[in-house]
Amino acid sequence: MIIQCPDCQTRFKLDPERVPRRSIRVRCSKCRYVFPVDGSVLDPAPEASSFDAVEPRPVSAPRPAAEVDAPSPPEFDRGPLVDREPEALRPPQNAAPDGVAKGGRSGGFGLELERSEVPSLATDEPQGPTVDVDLPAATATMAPEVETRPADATPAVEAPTPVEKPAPVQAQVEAPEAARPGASPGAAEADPKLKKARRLARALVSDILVYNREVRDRALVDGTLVQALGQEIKKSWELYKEKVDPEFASESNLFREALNDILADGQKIF
Amino acid sequence: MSLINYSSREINCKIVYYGPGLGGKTTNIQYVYDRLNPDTKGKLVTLATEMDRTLFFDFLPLELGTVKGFKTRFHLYTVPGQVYYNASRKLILRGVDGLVFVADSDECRIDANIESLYNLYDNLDEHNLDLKDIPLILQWNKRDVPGALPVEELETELNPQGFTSFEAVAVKGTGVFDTLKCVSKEVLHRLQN
Repeated sequence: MIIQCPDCQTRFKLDPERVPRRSIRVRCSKCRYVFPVDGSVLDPAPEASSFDAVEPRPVSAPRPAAEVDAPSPPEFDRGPLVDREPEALRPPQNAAPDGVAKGGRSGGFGLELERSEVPSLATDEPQGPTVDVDLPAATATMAPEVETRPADATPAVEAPTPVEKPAPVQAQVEAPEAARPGASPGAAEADPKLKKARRLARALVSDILVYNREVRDRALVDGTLVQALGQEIKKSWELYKEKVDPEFASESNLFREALNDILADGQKIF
Repeated sequence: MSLINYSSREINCKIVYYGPGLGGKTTNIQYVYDRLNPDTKGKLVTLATEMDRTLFFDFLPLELGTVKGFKTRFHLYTVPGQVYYNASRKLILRGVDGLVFVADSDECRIDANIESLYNLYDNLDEHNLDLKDIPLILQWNKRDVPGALPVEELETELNPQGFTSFEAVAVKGTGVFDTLKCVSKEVLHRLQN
């Protein structure tokens, strides 16, 4: 599939096999802009087989800058993973016509897959009400992270996160019928602390769901989810902060992701 | 550890049903309770506190055979499953002789299952209890829900140690007594040794 950086318009070829069904974020190695790619809307089959015929299509509308600058989990700072799965994102030999970046330090095409599956932050969602639970603010904490990477005009490849061991969670992402919300391969798989925090967040939020399923369903239809379950969310958020340490809880976006994935049923409400 | 009552010549064994909230722990115990001979069972006690949550434990004595001349009385407890009721869970775990972990097969509860199981391990550690000494049986409950996770996946995620496990649909009673008999047998086996 071909995706295009909404900032510098550079186009990149992306192996659809490496894109989970849910959203991922990619970083343009040319201009360093980070933007989302929604795996679920991509139909990899025709694009993978016929590069020349492909026109860059709007895989996902560019998001507001603040949203793109969502806080990234710490391990995003780790070095390139190209050595671990270099072939995954390598372009075909003939893949370099008009404006499609190619080459790079590993023969790649200049995209870095961000290991985060849900990039949104409630406070950035124009339509999204903000629940009064002191959730991590959508500040531009990603900016320093971007700057820590060496400025590299040469397009480069960084493979998506390979998990340390094949987790069923990841298998589900690839299996449409078994996909569950938010269960994408990602940062949480790579770092034990992050994995633990992500699991706790999802457990807490799924507790809210199963104990308030009818209220949730009704509120989701009425658009009153935040008001209906604000107290429950706040209580769980406080416990989450206490358990994972407040600073980490605020810096990471895991709790919010869990709210959107599980409680909002995939909508970006929080 | 089991409590021995010499005057009544009874050994009291405590079995705790652990697991995430609304996973079926209470359903298990309620099903067992409803089918026991009224002469052999005590009173079922339910505690509900705080914001109408299903925070409770059940108490159910169940007599099974004798060990060295002592009758055995099983006390069955559930714990509150929600993440933030850990203090109660920790308290109820004290003196446990056998454990049943009731996992919810619903895919949206996989993280809650894992979190609860890790929480069980943590709480056992705090009581200086070791799973080498205490039998743990896992139950894959709600096998009838649409989109239930495959048993293989539950085994991979929750049971890498290979503890004995049973599939169950507790509301229908499927697997409930299999689980209880297995854990009881394990507890008795340890008592005899």
